[in-house]
Amino acid sequence: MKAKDRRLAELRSSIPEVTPSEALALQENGAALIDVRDHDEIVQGSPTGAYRLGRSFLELRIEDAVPDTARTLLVMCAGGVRSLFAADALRQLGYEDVRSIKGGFSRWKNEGHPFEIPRFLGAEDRERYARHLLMPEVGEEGQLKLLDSKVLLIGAGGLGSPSAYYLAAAGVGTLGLVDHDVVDRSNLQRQILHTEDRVGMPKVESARIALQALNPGVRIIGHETHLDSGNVEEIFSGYDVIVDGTDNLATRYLINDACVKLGLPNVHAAVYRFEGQITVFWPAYAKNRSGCYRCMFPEPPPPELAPSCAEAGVLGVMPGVLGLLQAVETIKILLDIGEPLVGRQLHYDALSSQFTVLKTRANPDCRYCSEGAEFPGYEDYAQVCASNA
Amino acid sequence: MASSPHSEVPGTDLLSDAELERYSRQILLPGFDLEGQERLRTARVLVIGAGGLGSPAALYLAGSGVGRLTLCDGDQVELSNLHRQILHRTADLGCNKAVSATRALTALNPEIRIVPLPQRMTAAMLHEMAGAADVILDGSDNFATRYAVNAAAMRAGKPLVSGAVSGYLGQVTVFRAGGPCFACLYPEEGRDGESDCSSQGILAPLAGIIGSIMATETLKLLLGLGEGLHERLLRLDAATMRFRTVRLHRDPACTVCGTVCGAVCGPAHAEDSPCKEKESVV
Repeated sequence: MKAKDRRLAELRSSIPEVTPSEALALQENGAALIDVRDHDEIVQGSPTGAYRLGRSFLELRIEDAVPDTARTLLVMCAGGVRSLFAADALRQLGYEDVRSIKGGFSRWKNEGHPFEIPRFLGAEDRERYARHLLMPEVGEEGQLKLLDSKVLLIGAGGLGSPSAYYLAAAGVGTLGLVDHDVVDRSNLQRQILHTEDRVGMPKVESARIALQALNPGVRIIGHETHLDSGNVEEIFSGYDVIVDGTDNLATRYLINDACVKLGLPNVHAAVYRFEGQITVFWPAYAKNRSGCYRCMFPEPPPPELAPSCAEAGVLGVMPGVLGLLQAVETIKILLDIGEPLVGRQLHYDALSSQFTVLKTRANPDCRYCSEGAEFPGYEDYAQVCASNA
Repeated sequence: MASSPHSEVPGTDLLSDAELERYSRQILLPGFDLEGQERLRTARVLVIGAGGLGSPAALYLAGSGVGRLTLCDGDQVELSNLHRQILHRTADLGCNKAVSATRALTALNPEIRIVPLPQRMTAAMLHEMAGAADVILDGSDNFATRYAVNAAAMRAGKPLVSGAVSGYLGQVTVFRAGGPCFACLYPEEGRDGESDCSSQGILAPLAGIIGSIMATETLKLLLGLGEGLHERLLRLDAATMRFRTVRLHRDPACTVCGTVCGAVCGPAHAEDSPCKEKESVV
């Protein structure tokens, strides 16, 4: 008898084996199915919901996938032999109930049990997003999720420039841009998406050129229009996150109202002179009940009380910092990692280099987002100037 | 920074109409004004590294109208850079980063002068470049360069804006001659073989936040505005969006920012790395 066969016989006598049907039933009851086959085998198909850890990294990765050593592990390979060796390694690591699947994936597939063709990043994307793959909070799964995500940026100006640049760089698969302006020379002091030779070009078009040059794998959808009550829902539909980088109050209210109605997170920022602030309005966020823009400012001020856009100066880098904070918050929301600025407003005072956080509260009487409130409809306010982006 | 009278320094003649238009939004700022814009036009900033931190910093400094930006980088653009280094394009792969950056910055603002230095800098070159700069911005990704840049800045008596990022964490500070300096914060002994930031994961836009805060601090130094981050280390945990400020103190034994110039310094005590955040910096 060969050494391998002798060892296998020993393992068979101590490691319980289950049929694919039994494994499926156990998996449905909470057991973890561990597919230990190599990458080139898994791309042909792998049981739905399996952890694909690979034999060579199994001991290093299992605890991240299954922290509870009391949970039942069902180990699968192609034919049911490698899985016995792998099961033995898991048992030695301290997992209490480890079983091997008889006949492996070939039998699983032949018996008609559910499997999927898992998605992987291509070689080029693995290289492009290497620094994200090194982060356990992002990883391959997170990067695939970003590539599947859709983010809509309102404004391709001061705030929208850095957020669009970094969201495209980071591999957010679809970026929508709403802007009806053309590039002006006075924009270039802060709107880094645009260039001198694109002065006069629609901002959406100029942005598309810059973003595709950086990352041709990202789809850019331009909406060269002005948001109003008639088009806001149509434009917003299908997006996962809305990033408010607009320069006027009327649009801010419209964005807020549509986000509340559609349950979308609204990553909101504003800059003024040497200061800026950012928060996430997301009443539908399950982890932390919070309010909307109207909880803080129920109605826009009359035009005579709002500062004029034309007169407000802004340090060029201010929308840079704030737009980048928006990009970080957007990625956190897309990947459901960390604590987004829901119910908190971050304020940056550039002159003193101080960041402070204020708690924000939902208004229990808010006409738009309070519990059980019926959507009161959109309002097309006359353009009122606010802080400038 | 010295004030910039109209006639004494070359290039301080009145702003052109095109410049007035370009910079109109910041000229409107209280405390900035035409004088601030003219001051920026004569300013010289040395940017070390056209990568994750240098990209946003250089873009915003160029956009603001800093008259002369010198960019040092000996590396070539790689695909893995493009998830955060927005100065470069996919078409620039294989191109030197300082050269690629110069193209991007000139496209944004052709009114200023960009000087690319597409090579690894020796200590002697750094010393010379630091002497010719008003502010030095360090966005390099390794300890050896950081020590050399710090020594050059301290010897030249020029403020050094320093930042670092890793994962979710970032930090920014300003070092000045007289200390504290980078070598007070991270004593040089025992650093051999320590992993550099270049091999760690980074949340893409976090590099942007830190780089753009570095640009803000640089502009404040050039304009003499506000309260800088000298003796303060600003740290950000982007997962929670909590910022903290840590007081920095000079290491009395440090000879880099102390009276003996240029020597290697530092007591051998355990310290954290600029790539890895811990609580024990003060």
